[in-house]
Amino acid sequence: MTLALRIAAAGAVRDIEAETALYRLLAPRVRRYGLRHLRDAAAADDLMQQVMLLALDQLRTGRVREPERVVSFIFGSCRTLVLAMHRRESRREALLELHGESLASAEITIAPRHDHERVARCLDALRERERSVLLLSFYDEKPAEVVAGELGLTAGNVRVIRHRGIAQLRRCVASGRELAA
Amino acid sequence: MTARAPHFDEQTLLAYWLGETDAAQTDTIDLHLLGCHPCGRALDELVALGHAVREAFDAGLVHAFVSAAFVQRLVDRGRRVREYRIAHNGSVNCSAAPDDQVLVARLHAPLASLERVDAVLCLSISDAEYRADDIPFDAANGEILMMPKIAIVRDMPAHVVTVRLLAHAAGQERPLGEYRLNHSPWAG
Repeated sequence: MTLALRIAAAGAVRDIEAETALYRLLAPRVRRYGLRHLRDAAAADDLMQQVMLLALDQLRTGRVREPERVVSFIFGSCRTLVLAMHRRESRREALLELHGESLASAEITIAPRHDHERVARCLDALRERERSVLLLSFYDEKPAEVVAGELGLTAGNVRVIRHRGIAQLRRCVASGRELAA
Repeated sequence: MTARAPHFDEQTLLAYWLGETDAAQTDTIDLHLLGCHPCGRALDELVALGHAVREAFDAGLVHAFVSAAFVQRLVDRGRRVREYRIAHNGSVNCSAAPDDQVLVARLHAPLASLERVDAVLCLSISDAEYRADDIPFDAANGEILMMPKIAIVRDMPAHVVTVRLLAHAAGQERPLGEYRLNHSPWAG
């Protein structure tokens, strides 16, 4: 991880270019981790800022023992902070005060989006059970065991139906995109 | 940054996202995703697709047969759900208020011991017939929950929807019930 090594080497002088590049590269991934474990966009944004600011701070001050393994450091920080956030503990304010100004506005990758009207038309084309399974799976992000229990199916059956439905939905959405392009 | 571990397939990524993986698998995938751009993009695509499904449903553009638990979750979330309960072979006068977000028809039927149920929907204002094969049903509670597209229903003129249920058991198909939903535009 060259960027992390550059940040560590620069120390207090600060390699802003490397810091910004590292932030842009890893912040979306930390946000994704936050969405998965916190199930809340605002909390995921908080986690993203806290973890990235912490990582940059620790790199600058030489407290990441192996800068080239910064991903492992970030993973550990994510786990620790998610636990802390679950306990409503937060260090956000202090870190933002220290380093937030220069990084808070850094752009991050925007997640892909789909036209929901197009997706609605594509859902129409699915089999009834595929549509029901996808709706129950995605609307509340429920695991196969829960969806299976509610629809009188087995979890294995739900996974098969879900996989088949997603494949067809994706094909339909993609074909619409191609037609629109 | 190079990911040393092999990439994860879509089913595994979705299982991870929906909380089906155990703690050790989740840790492995978490760490991999922090270092692997292709897997992250694949997962983002799946999540975006799921988000669009939610948006489509919230816009009242999804017709589906669902579970009672799903309807209850909508109610618990504060969604304005209008429900109509229709006795076996019964009928109901129905409408959709401007601020209703979800419509549910609860069709009661003797569903015990059935292997499969199909539904055939006919609208009095159209010659078209819509056949829904192999719909989910709650045999224990003797109930089928149908959610029409409220965004479409709300703007429709007065009409009657006839729902014919067909039962499948022991290789035989037979009529199970017939229901009439007498829709009229919201009178205020």
